[in-house]
Amino acid sequence: MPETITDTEIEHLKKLARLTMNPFDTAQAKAQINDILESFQQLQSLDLEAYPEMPRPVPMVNVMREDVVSDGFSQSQAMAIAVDPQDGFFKVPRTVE
Amino acid sequence: MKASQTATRVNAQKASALEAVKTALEGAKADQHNIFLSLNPLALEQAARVDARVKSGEHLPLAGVPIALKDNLCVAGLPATAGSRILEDYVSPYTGSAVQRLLDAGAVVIGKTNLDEFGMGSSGENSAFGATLNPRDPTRVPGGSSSGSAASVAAGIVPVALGTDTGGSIRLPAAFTGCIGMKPTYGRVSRYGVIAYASSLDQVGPFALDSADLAIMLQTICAHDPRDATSLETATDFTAVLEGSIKGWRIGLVSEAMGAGNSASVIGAIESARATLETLGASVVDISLPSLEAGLAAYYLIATPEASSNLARYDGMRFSKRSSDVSGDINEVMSRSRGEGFGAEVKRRILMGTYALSSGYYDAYYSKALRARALIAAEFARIFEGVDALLLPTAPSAAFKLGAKADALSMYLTDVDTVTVNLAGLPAISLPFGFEDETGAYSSSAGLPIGVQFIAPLLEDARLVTLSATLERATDAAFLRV
Repeated sequence: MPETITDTEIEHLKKLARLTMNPFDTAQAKAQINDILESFQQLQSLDLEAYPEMPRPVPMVNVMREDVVSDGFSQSQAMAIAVDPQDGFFKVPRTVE
Repeated sequence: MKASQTATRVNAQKASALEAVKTALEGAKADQHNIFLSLNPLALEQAARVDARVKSGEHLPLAGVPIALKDNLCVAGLPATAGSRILEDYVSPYTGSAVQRLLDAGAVVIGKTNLDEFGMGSSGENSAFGATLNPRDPTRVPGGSSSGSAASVAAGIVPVALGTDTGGSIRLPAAFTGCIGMKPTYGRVSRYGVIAYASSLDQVGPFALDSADLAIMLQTICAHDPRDATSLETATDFTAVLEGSIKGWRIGLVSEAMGAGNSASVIGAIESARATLETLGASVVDISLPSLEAGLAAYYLIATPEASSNLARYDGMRFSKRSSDVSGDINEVMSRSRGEGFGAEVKRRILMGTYALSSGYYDAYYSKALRARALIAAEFARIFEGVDALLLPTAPSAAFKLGAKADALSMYLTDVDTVTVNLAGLPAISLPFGFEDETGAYSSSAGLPIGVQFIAPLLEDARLVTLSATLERATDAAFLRV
């Protein structure tokens, strides 16, 4: 069974999840996640070899629709709710130095 | 007034949709329980259009019925915050399929209701816009995450409402506020227009105060939708099964859910339900569901990875709130926007989900949870070879005091009786069945509402409607309802 989450790992997880958190909230989240994961150890004792992974409750695969053109949003409808639109585009912070 | 009564009167032009909606809006405006996050400014105009449709000869199953929607369900032109600061300014450009079917049937949305942020919570306290209070006792939680929708029905503001149930989020608040709340089979109600929390578990469902209204809601919202790839092509006449009988049914009482963790009042409610079922000609047999407790771990280790993925879209770049501090590179602005926009519980679940999916831990957590899910589904399938439905508590206690469960783990344990249903995709219902009196004992007359839960096999949702209607007929209304 892997170790529970360390300080280094929680910082890495914050980076992966793109989340800023202050030191107090980070420490609290780490402690609570560790408590939760510890209580979930019972899962490790189950013999699950015979069971395949079940990602969804109803076994449906390759659901397709007819290849027919249908109406979608216009550009102006979609951009009407953009956080920072400019000339029909999303304006975002610099991504390339 | 019940939805069925309003629709009958409006269809007969003995009452108007306008009057019904106006009364509901007045109730919503006077509410003191923080039930609504926004009201529909066009509700009266839309009600007048329903009256015009009726006058032109249309017969509408929900004519003029005012409804409330959990604020993670999208309606064109109305806010959809999901109870989160990060979507505080979001106005949906489209209407979800289940909601559209209600509107087509003549219902009028009066407002969007409070919820635990993104559906993450069991009490209704975890909204960025403040806790919802329980109309039965405002010092107590209403249950979550569909707290406002349940409370809107319990408070008598609307006769019916929609919520979503990812791990119990319809059934728990139904139990705590004394309503009927049902989670249909996964795939029977379209998820198009639902702000996703955990897509393999989320399901839309109704709240109501009687079985006839429950049936009308299910009849309206359960339909195939090509815009949801998990939508099922099935049809059931839910109103036709209202008069059904449960004579000869075998009901399994889940032994693992009857342990010492339950309050005396909950055990009393189950025993009372058992006696009533037997009076009606059903037999109640003890059944073992060994993985009930492991289901809680599997649930959280599946729901949180799905949440970490679903909530990645809220990055402050396109449609969600951006931090006012835009210094630094794009990753810093994203991280700051998400850090400011999400609440503590959402952050915790995103981190836990990220951990469960990360290299080195996937097999130990996420993969294991998916295999446990298969085990649980197989256990249910085996059990349903011998019984028609299962009986167990909806929650281990009646509604608890606001602030009583401060640590995350004890809050998660509230869901122990509800989450396995979502893992297996099964239909389940919570029915109000008596009360907890001031001494903590079971009472058939007054106190805090207690819910009992029934689970049916996949696609056998109609059995739950028959159970609800049969118990309703057999039971003094003052005993079953609040």
